[in-house]
Amino acid sequence: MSDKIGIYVCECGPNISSKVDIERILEEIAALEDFRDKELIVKQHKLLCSVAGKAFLEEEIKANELTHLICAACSPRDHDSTFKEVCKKAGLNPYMYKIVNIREQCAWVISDKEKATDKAIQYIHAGMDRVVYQQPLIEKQLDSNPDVLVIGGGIAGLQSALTLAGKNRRVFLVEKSAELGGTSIHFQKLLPRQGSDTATRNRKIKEVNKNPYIKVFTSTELSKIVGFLGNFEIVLKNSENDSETELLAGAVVLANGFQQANPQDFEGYNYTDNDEVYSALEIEKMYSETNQITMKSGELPKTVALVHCVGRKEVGYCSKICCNYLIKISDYLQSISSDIEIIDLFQDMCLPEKEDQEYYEELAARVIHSQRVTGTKVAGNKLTYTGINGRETTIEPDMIILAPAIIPAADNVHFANLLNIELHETGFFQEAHIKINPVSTNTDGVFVVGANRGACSISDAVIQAQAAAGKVLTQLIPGQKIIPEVMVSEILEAYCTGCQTCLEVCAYGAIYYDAERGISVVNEAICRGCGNCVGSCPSGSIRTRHFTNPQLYQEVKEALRK
Amino acid sequence: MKEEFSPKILSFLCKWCSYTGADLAGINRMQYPTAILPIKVMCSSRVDPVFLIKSYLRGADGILVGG
Repeated sequence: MSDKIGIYVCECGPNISSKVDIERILEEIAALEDFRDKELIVKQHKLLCSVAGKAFLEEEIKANELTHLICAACSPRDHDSTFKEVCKKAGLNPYMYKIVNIREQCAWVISDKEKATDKAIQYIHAGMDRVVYQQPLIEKQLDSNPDVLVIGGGIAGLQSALTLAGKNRRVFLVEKSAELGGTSIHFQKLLPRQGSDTATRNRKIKEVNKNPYIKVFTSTELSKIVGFLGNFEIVLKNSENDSETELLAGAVVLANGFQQANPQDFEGYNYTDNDEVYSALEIEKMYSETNQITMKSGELPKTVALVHCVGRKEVGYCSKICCNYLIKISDYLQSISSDIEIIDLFQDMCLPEKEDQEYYEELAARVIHSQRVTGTKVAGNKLTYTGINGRETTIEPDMIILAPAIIPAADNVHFANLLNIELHETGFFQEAHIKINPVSTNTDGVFVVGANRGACSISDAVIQAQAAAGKVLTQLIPGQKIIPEVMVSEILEAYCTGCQTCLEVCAYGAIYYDAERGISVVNEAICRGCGNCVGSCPSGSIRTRHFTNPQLYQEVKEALRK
Repeated sequence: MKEEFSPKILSFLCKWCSYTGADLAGINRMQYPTAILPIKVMCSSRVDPVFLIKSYLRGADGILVGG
């Protein structure tokens, strides 16, 4: 049986048909007699991606027993997968088909119809040359483990675990300290509206502890992890007795939290532990433990200065939550004594949530004396601020409370290396896409939630935790096989010299060195087929399936023919 | 009359960014010369230097590697 190439040109309504001369395309392509000894079937259709178009294509593949298929249509971003599905249904290996983008990169960018038609023909010709060099690829199926590792026992970790367990998913919740709760365990009350935290946080901890699907590991850290979505091999280490636990999971939700910057690290904040200068977190702890906010002498302060934006310029971002919690702290203060004078020095007021403005205005009307400043300095108990008129004023309140920048947790770098995920220039984790995929990372099956991807409120942390749990529940379904990408790299054993250059350039950690055989090996389940290794391999022993040198070279050759 | 020289620019475009950018140019109906020829790759790092040499030998006047 001789090979048959089907070439189908989509009119895309008027989108393509009004810009190129489809008649001429059909004629010129059909006139390519004996194209590599293959029979050509050239046709057009109104809208290939429509139900009727897909049925037409399926019927054409079957009736003509096509061995290769070209769809000259829109961008592969729109309908590559649509036509691949049609191929599968019609019994043609989807890797024996190619979409040729004659819409976005031809019809829409060339106003001269003649020229656009010439170019479309050239593209289709290049596509035909490539498709005959394509090879069928077979998708593999791997078993997957539906269990989930959650790292971090703060609010984001607790919520992730609870949401996953709510769907009967087994969760291993790992917390490095001895107790669950994270940073917010020190908060006496939570925003908005001073709701008591015991109702929310403690209930979550209790629910986690009694949930049969959640296994909690406290005083434990992640020491090793290898694998990919559906198949992670994990080693946990208990920091108290050094014992190790090995387990398997299919996904990882990382909720390792944040830290508050030390104000003394920033220029202009010079004080010692003996001065009446506190960070907001120290005040939270003090109030939580003693139900009082007192000076070192044990007396109540008469004047308190709240300082916003400590270190904001240095870190280069707004920490988002500080304005709100300083308002909360002024609420603490006025509930202790209505005689305390509160001086609030802000640079920009950030009140992002719908309840915030009203809460602030209510307190500002009664107790807070707010003033916009352009800079603040602390020297011992003295506080100097620059007003918007540029004048410096120095005051000496009884107590100074600072809102330092929220900075990435110290172990972010450690986790970035361990899990092969990217860090943003600020040191927080980089999302797969800040807007449309904000809790995923560049490693499939690894999610980041809470303040490890930037300062966030408790409600934001809860939202993110639920989002990540939703991602896990939809991507990792018990009993469902994982179908890894088939357009991946492969290393030809005979040519590999074992130089390991590919290991250095692989961004996904998909290549490992097999010392016994003296060669590098690709883990196909992790490989994304970018081809970085192919370009760097000095012995030419790597090829990327579906983007092989001959395939690309054919396309280049034809593109340059005229 | 001598025809105006229009250089053939071969462009290797990364599937994730610059290929999408070229699509966006189309969506916005930005016009550009016909002699710009895109080749989609999975990543610009896939482009082997040998491709560039071969492309020049085949008649490319310029090459853009976008990624």
